[in-house]
Amino acid sequence: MSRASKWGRVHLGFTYAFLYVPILVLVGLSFNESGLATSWGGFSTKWYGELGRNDDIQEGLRNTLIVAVGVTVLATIIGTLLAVGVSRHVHNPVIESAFVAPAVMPDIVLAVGLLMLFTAADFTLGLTSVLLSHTLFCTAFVTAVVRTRLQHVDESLEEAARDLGDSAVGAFVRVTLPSLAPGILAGALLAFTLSIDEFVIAFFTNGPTSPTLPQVIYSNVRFGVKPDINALAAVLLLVSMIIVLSAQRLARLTDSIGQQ
Amino acid sequence: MLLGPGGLYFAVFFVVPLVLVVGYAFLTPSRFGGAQRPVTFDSIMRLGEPVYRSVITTSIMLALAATIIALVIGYPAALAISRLPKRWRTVALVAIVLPFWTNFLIRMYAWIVLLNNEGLINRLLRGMSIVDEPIALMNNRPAIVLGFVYAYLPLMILPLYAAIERLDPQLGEAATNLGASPITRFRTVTLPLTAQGALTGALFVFIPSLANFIVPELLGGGKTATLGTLVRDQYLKARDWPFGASVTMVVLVIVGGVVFVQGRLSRRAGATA
Amino acid sequence: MTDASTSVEPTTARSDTSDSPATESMPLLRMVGVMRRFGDVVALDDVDIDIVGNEFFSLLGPSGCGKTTLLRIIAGLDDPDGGTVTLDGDDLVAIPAHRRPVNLMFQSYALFPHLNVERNVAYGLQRERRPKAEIRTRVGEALETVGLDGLGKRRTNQLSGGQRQRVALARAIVKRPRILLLDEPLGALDKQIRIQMQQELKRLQHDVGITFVVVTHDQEEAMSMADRIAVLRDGRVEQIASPETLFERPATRFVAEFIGRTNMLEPADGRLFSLRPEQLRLLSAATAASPGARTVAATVRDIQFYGGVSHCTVQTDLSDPTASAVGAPPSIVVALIGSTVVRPGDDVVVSWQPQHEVEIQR
Repeated sequence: MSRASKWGRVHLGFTYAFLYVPILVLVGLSFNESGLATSWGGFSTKWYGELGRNDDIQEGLRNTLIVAVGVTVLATIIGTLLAVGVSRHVHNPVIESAFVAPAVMPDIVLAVGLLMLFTAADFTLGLTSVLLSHTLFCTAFVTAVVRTRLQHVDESLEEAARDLGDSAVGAFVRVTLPSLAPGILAGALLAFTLSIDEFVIAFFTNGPTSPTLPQVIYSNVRFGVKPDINALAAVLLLVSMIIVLSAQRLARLTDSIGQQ
Repeated sequence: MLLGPGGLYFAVFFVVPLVLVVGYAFLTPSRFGGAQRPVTFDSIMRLGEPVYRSVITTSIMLALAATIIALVIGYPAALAISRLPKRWRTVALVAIVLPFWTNFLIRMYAWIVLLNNEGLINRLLRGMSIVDEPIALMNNRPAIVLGFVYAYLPLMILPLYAAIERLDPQLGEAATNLGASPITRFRTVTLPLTAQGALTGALFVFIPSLANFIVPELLGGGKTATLGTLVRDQYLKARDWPFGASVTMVVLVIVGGVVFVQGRLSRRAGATA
Repeated sequence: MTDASTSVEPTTARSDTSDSPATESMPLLRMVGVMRRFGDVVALDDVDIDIVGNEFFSLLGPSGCGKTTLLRIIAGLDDPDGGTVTLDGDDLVAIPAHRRPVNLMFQSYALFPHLNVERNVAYGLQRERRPKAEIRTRVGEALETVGLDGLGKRRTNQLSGGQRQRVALARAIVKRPRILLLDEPLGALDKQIRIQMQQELKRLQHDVGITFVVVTHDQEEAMSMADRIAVLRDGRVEQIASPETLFERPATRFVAEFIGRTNMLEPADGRLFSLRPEQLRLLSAATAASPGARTVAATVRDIQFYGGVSHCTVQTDLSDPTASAVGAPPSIVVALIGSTVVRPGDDVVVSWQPQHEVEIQR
């Protein structure tokens, strides 16, 4: 290996260390009896138990999941329809980028805009407003993902189905949708993950009585180190890993199926 | 129809909010938030005041610093990944992206745990008798930049890697064959042809960093005012929505400008690898 | 056993199946025992080739025969696992790739997309740190030589395939290398342009006086352009000779069948003979053959019309005594000028003069 490559790998190693050490420290601390960074009190899983008993966190989790499921369903449906519609009927690049813009814009812009919308419409802030806001945000991502998948789909298949007697809607549902399935699944997974993690928009558009999990985390960490947050961090890390790895597996699996 | 539901949804929940942002900037603040007539330029004019101008420049500087550092760290990393044996590359990329999927707040919290006066680093330094008193590692601007870099580094590496991968290896071989040493080859062929990927990555770091308020608060100790913290304060504390809207417009303008410039630069660079 | 590689010393007995280069001087490029392995696959196995100055040389063979690997080794983009490569007697392998006086024209042209035509051509001269005025002059000359003057400012993606090829050519020759390597230079071009470019490349090599080494899998191409050809197969050299020698005196069965079409005769005594379709005549059953000719009865099976020439495939009557005596194959290809009067199913007689049977030493 050339010298340059050797240094390159060293740098890569440091990059990975930079990315992972902080998280791993949290995981390590989550097993620390004392829960503090300053002293090691021995191995313990008590903080995980504390996590289960923490009402705020439990409620936040519940709210977040309620929103995420709703968002996933809505965003996936709207996003898929949009993806197909835009690919086939929209040729104006400005309009095309408009449908992707929410994904690229700074979230705070969307957040305050939506806040003003709800207020102007006299809409009470709560989980519903969060759900509606997240749906917009996630739909943009689903649209982008499904559109990418759409490039692999042969339009003439749907035309063949119609030629054989199927209706427009029927052909779409029976022919196009199945080959889009991997993209739709990926989009749904993405929407779910984004909604669970999303903080800024929820922060602005939520009411005071039903915080989401990220909001609970935020109020906790503002005031310093909290041991049960360490345990929560470890749990969330595990969940992220599972999601990312299964998404990877799914992608490889469906890709090979889609190759036919 | 296909576009119906999506189009309607975007019209209501995307276009209208944006219109409101622009619109409110020209209104007068109501007592408990919200806005009312008369139409006025006051909120816009306030942006010209020195204190707010410095907020704008500070935010741009911090985002820029984070972008440059992310580029310096990310480019060699992307290069190194592209030189790994084929079967390791996917794993390497997934490993880069994985931390990104952990909750943003948790990731910033991790740095609080490390950088805090009672945090791990200080404890280690004290334990090894390198210092007696804790060093202030956070609640300052470098910590904010660190937070941005940590948050968005994966977004810099991915497009960079994609651009490097797309590079035709025969171009590098042609350069070598024509007399270019490895360094010259990098400078005259690899770098210019991956510049677009670098630009995309830069955008993915700059834009979110610009309007972020979590990092300046958690890692900056709330001591530094940025565009993000300013917007939040105006909407949720001061309840001066018109002014908040005008600051948001500043964010939009800067982002729009940067995207425009990037689009221009890539079109001029013309052909991709 | 015939030595199928060239030897330079004039005193060594030369077989009549190989050709030493036209000049008996010290070879410009000398490869001895070159080996290259990729894991379990042997790409090059003990390759010996000498190439001299001002020669149009071709490496010919089917895909996978190692010709591109050999080219890359000469260019320095790959290193041999064994053997030596010398340029003017000096070890070439020891010189790093970017310092060798050898330039390569890639099959895909590898033009720099971010530079216009002029800058592409100038790239190599800039690496030599030539003064700007000199670069400008030489680039202009090179573009003129390949017929692209006036297109200097164009971007590479605005050019046709043929034009891109000329840019790649100009970029390589402007540096005046000792050797110019060309990897399947005409592969991507339309047939008409290809024929035209074959002539142009030959003329160019002659005008510029640099040694050209062209890698190709197209034997017609190699035959029409090269002074000498090395036929490679599975990493080994089958024969090195001029096009005429390869055609008329193939050293191995593979060369006989690879260069043009041929009919192989395998008589009972175990020897092997190659008989070119061009040496065969087709007679009706009634017509008498020329004196001294061998004849074999056959039935017409198939005719392929190529415009100027037809290839007629006949099914040999294996009960014919001559057929079994000479070891004739079950089907024979006969070359006929222009269109023919025979049709599938006709009974014919194939005749040839015995001296046109070329023995292949196994």
